Amino acid sequence: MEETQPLRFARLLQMVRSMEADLGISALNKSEKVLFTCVGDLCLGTDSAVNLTEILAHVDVKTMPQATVYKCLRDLREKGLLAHVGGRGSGLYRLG
Amino acid sequence: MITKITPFLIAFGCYLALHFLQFFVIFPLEAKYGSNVTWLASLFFFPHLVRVLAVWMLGPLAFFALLPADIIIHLVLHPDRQLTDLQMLVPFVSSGCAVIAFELFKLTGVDLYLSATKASNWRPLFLIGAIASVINSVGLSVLYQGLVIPEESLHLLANYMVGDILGLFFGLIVLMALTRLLKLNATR
Repeated sequence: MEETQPLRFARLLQMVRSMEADLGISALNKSEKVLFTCVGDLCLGTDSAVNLTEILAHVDVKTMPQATVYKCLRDLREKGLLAHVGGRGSGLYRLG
Repeated sequence: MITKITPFLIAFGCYLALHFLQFFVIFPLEAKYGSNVTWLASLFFFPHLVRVLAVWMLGPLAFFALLPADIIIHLVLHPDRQLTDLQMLVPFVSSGCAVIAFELFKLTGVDLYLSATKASNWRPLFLIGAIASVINSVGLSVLYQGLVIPEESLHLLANYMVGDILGLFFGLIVLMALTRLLKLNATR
């Protein structure tokens, strides 16, 4: 699998975040972490964006209330961890 | 082509910059308040973080990004050293210790390179960093034999290990602070 630069950066952030979590200073709540790692999972090996439908269908997100998913997506965007691709209603996300 | 080289250039740049920071800022500060072998070892050796992260992210080829930086800093610090001196091998040991540690794990069936794992956790990296530090410490102590009085050798070995491990840990803390700072700026 070829590692792209955004993916390397995302993995570096994930690694740093794992340390934050272990030291008890994580900036993300549980749902945000699930969503962030889910997008990372879906982006694995590619530099492309992830569709909202794919995110909602992900095994870790399926059981999450949709309102929580939307709120977490917004919060992760505000924290700079996810970025919206295309127009406001495109439903496409990539790692920030 | 350029995209493929860029991460290696970044690793080289970060490694070289941290070495300069280490030798021209942190070492003099430690020499003022610390041990008498500070010219060789530091209590917080931050370049070790780059060694471990570069090899984790780029694989064994990261050695070729780290080696030129190690050679440059070695020649800057010891311009009088002859090519035939045993200490000319120091850059090879320093640049190669993390690769050796990762490869040792791989040989035992635990491949911890970024490309081989799905989860990114700091703990296996820290373990690799500690083992790389042991390899580096033993290697450098052997190469510096004769330049350090025997009673100081053990002290030096311990200094290397403590420096690398603390440098790795606090380097990760600095990285954490930096990512938080960047996130903070992104929300403004």
